[in-house]
Amino acid sequence: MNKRVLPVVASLLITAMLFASLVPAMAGWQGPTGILAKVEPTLKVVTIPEDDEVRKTGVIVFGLQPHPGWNKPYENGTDKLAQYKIMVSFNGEPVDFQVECQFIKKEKLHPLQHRQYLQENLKTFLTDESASFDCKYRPGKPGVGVLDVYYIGVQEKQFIADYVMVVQVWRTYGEQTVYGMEIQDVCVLGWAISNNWLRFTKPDGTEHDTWDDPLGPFASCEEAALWQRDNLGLGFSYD
Amino acid sequence: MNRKYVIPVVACLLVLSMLFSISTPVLAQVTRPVIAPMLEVTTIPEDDQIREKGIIILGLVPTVQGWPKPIDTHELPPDQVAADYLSQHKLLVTYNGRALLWRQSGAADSKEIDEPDVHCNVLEKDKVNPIDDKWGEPTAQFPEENLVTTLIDVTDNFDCKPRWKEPAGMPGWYESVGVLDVYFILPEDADPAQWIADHILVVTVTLVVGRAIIMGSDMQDICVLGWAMDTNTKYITKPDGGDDYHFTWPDPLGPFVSCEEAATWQRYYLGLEIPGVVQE
Repeated sequence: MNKRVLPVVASLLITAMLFASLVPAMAGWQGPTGILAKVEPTLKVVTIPEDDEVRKTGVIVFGLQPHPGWNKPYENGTDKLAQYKIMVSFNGEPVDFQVECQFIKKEKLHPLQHRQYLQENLKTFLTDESASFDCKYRPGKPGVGVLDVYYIGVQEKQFIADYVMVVQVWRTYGEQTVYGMEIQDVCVLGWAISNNWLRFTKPDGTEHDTWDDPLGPFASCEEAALWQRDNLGLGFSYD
Repeated sequence: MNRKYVIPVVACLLVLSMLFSISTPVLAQVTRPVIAPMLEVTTIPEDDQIREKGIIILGLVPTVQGWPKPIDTHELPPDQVAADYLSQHKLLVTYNGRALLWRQSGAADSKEIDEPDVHCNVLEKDKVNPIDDKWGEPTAQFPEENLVTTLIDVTDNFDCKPRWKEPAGMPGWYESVGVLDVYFILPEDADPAQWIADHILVVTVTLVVGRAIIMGSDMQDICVLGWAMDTNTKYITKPDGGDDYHFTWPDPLGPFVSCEEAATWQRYYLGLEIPGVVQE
């Protein structure tokens, strides 16, 4: 055998090994497109609304008065706290976390321009109203607790609406931050559409109002808010 | 064998076996299911939060006498039918636990993403009765199979439009939080009663990230009814001049706990029988 054969074959094989060792490194290369799709660890977020467990929504009541012509139940009182249970887990284990909430008001808008077809005679218009809310995490055990959501904005009719609450949680492991996200419902009503009302006094002399079913005969917050806004003289906006 | 070749040959064999072992992860990816990057899609129906479904009302009235459930018989404004062709759902799309962000004007460079594509599939669920074939043989496999659910793809009759939110303090951007407006588009000259049914809505979101296409899906209910089973209809004038109204009801499914049953009742009172079919 030619004495050069073995060194040449060995060189080729070693070169091939070098290329093969590049495979894991290539997997992380972002390539000419600049970004890479990859699976990162995430936190699992579960929230349960407590104010209305039938319709699965938090409820806030401004304590406004309906105008004459309101033909559904009405009760007095104010409650600016919506409540949610929350659990955050990572790989199946509940873990401590940090949390931030966003609140988005949903309104109906009647498009007079740019309507794509006849049926698009109403569309949903979104406004960020996060500044009018504050959400506070009350931990009970690691990763498990309650979110108290307070309405701190002005109590006026234009804020009666169905809202989207976005719960963003995160936790840092070493240098890596792991995230999780969920959405929930918050129903902001002008008044409780209920036939039963209970008011009791708190230790500092202020009062707490509670109702058995603040959405009353309505199956959805969207429709209840629409009826209350209409009763208070708020029509559809348009573009 | 010349002894001087033994060590180099053994070395070559060992190096070759190392090369094969390096190919193992690649082969595993080709031949086994893997956990790929994906989008997490969450939807919450808004029209009926008790039964957790979107609702579309076609504005029909019973044609068979004796409808035994609530219906609003109050007079409507002239030339109006009490219809609502819009079903609404909240929408969140996340990727690795965070919402997506993109420029409303499109990606500025290759390090940014474009708007995710939201596609809806809608399936109508109908009941049929398996009947005997032309030789008189039963096509039901057993006597209890006297009702069969059939699915019809009616995607062409629905259009879904995501309404994304602009993040606070970031004008010109959108984030993947918002609302999905689902419109029913009735074909011309079609009999709307045929669409009364419980429907499956499948929302699929697709995003191009670098060289990869990643996806996520969620399923929802849409209930298409002929009329609302509520005696209290409100109509609100829209801004374009007084002859266009939005109709709304507190509880359109009324005494029914399921769309499936409500649709079956309404179809019966419109004279629509359960069809008999020969099963393949």
